[in-house]
Amino acid sequence: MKKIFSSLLIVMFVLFIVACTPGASETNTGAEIDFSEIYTEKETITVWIDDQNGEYMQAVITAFNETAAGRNIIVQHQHMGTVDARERLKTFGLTGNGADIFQFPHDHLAAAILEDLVYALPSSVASRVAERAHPLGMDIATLLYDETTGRFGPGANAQENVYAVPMSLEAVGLYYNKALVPTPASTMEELLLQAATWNQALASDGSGQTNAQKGWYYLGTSSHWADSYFMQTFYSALGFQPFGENLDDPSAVGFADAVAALTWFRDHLKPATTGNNNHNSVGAGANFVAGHIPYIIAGPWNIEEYADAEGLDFGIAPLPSVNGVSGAPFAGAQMAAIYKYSDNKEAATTFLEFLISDKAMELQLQMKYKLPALKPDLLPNIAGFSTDPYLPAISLQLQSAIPMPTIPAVQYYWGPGESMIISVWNNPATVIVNAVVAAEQAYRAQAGLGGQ
Amino acid sequence: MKKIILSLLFMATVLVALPHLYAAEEETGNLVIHFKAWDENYAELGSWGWSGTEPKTVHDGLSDFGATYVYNDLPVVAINSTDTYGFIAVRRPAGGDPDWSNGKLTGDILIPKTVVKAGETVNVYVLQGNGNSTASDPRYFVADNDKYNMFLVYYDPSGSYEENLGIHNWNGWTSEATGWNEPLKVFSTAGNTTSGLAVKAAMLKANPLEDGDVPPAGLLIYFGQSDGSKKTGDVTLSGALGAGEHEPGAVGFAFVYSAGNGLTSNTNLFYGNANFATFAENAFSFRLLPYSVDATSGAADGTYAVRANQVIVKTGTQVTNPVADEDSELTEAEAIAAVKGWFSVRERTAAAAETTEAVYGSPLAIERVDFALSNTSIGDFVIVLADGSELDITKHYVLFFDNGLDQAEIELNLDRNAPEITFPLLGQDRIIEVAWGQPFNLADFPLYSAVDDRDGDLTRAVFVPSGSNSKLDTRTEGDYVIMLQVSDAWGNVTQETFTFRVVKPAA
Repeated sequence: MKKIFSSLLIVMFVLFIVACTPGASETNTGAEIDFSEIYTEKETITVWIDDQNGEYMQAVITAFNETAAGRNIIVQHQHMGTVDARERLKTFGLTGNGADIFQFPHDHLAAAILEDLVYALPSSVASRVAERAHPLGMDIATLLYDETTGRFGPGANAQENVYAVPMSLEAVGLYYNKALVPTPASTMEELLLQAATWNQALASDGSGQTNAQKGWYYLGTSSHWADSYFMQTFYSALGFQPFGENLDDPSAVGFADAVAALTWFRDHLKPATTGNNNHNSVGAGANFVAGHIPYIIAGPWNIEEYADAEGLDFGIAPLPSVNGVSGAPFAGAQMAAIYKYSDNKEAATTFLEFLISDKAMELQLQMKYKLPALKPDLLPNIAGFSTDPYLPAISLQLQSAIPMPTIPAVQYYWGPGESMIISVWNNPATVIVNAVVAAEQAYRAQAGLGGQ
Repeated sequence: MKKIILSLLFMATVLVALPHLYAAEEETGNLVIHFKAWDENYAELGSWGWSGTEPKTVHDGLSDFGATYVYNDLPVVAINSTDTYGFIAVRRPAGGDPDWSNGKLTGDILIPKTVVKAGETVNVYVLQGNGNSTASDPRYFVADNDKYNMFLVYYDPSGSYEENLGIHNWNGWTSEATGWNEPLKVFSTAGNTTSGLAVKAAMLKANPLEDGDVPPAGLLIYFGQSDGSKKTGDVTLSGALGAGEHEPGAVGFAFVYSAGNGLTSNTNLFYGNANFATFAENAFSFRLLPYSVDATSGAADGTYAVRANQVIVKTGTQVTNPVADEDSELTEAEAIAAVKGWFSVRERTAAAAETTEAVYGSPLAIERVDFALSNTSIGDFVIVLADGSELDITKHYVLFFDNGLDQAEIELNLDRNAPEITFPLLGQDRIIEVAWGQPFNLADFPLYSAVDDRDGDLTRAVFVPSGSNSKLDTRTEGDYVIMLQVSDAWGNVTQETFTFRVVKPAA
């Protein structure tokens, strides 16, 4: 009996314990959650980028906000032309009504620095940018500047800083019609020899005129033949590079070194490209689009037009050498910088660095059709680059390019340089040495350098 | 026999040569670009050109319309050619290089080469502006040599144009509106004022009557909402062409500025180039541009208080900057102080009535005025009010401008409304039940949105301030009030709450 009673007590105890144990549905696995740590106050930055319909920037901002670094940064994009951006920052920047990040082409950098608009990137940021950016872009974005004197170049207080992130690069190349020249010429001697034959041949339209008479010269330019930017490849091959070895010496514009190139222009290039006509006489762009001419010197900005031309199958080749010397065209860049007095520099820096990420560069390539300003070995990582029919060729051309001079004095180079070529090209009586001296004097006067 | 052979040879020569002679004549034509600067100052005005229109150190002449640039013997191209002539009107001091910094009066104007007609002189009209040619706004206007033409220029000083703006027209135009309240949208942006506001224009064409005379063609400008949307009364082709005999190809001119809606008095209509100066004086007279919002980008423009201590000012026409004025005898500091003195902001303590004038308080203290110091002319400013002089959104203020030459005033637009936070899926009680004893699922956080009447969508700026109204504990039953907060650029703050109710599941 005692045993039975004890057993019942044990059973009842077990039942009691089981009854008192919470069921699975009542297990408390709850927790405290602080929403202020999830829905945090965000920093807002304003970005002025030249993007008319804003679709490209919206895609970039969306991608940025998906990153850990960009999750809590609100990016407001406003379309702004590059010249307008500088002008408006002068008025609206200090009060925070301007942009934290703005975009401009290479030739605006020095002016923007002089206008006290550009924030020099901290060395840690500059180092990270340098790890990814194309060396040409870094060259263009880096300047030696003395803030105390407002002068570029060496000086007691001059500091070398990286002022911007290069977003895209561009350089002219030799665009050719594959139907007319299956294998592009690699030397100008070869090209000019072929030009002599082509120009005298009857045009394909049955008019009875020669190609030259039709204005369908073998080689054209998408600008005009007195545009020093386009002519730089020939200048460099023939011994002329403005502003000295580092392209940053305003006292060394160096027109005197252009005599050999000008002589070659007059004696070899002009007869093949415009005959007896002036430097601006041929609408080569339309001729190339129409399939009338085999070659044109053009840039990436022309690709969209050429690619849209019905029946035109074109390729891009390196610019031909002259007398065995390869030319070095100017490389330009579109860049983005932080406004010097931005109150949101940290967030702006985060976004600026994102602009050079693989994702942002991929969007830029796909939506704006621009060559990412990345080191060549990083380009294959950008979706669409390797399979693009044109951009790898431009990238290849950049290997022989030199950075556009960015010193302020460059603005005084183009005008005298153009007048110099025009006088030689359009007037056979011009004494080349005199044209060179005139250009030098005009440059020095405009640049405020006085006489030599 | 000799004579016959000679005659045959002569005839053969003529037969062979004639087509070539005529063909040669028909292969070229002339192009004349007529350019109008708003101040009609054409001193040292040259051009930049490319692709066949060579740069000119100075314009070739003057027409009633403006400066002319003549390009003779241009080749006639195939009708399907997409090639263009490039043109920029730019001042070239002393006939030298273009003054790209201060002398550029147009963007890149791209005129299709197909406008050139064999043996004809084609007239193209271009207005001052800072934009490039685009597909929707070519910024050049070609007169038809076989028609009567009206170059109609229309300017709205507010800088904003109604989406449905166009014309209703009748009696002989080559293209006519299909019906009343269905405007024929003829306008495109043709130029810009010096302060950047768009100026619209259209080249309208009318067929000559059978006897070659001018047809009785007319039009009015409106935006398709009946009489109340009329900008003008009748504008006639004959009025634009003016008195006298006219031949097909003639171009008449009509300049109109918007003086409001429902207007038919035509006091804002000026026929012919002779009256352009009067038009310009009325249309481009100095004023402070009112606050407006760009319909496409949503960006604010005009004159308005952007924050309690900042007023953005935009003038209708630019004024000389004494800091960059080489003729000014002021030091830079004095010139900056002078610009600061152009502005005063006063509270309007009593509005004007029929017999009494408005009453204003003392000027608020201004700390500084920001503007582009290095620009020779300026039209954008930011007034920074001193500490203690902030604007109160419950009051009304008027901005006064007086630089000695121009005077204007405008009531300041203030951001008087805070953003609005809404919960589209929550009921009126804003209570969301969550399970006791379970980890919180973030998907249960309510959807919300925030919109501001000035700043637009602010949803991404919403946050939960840290504190007693930021936490939820699903370990403990009860109500947890959560607060969301957002503020607009002015600093107006909105806070809204909802409740998480932690409940145990029913037994």
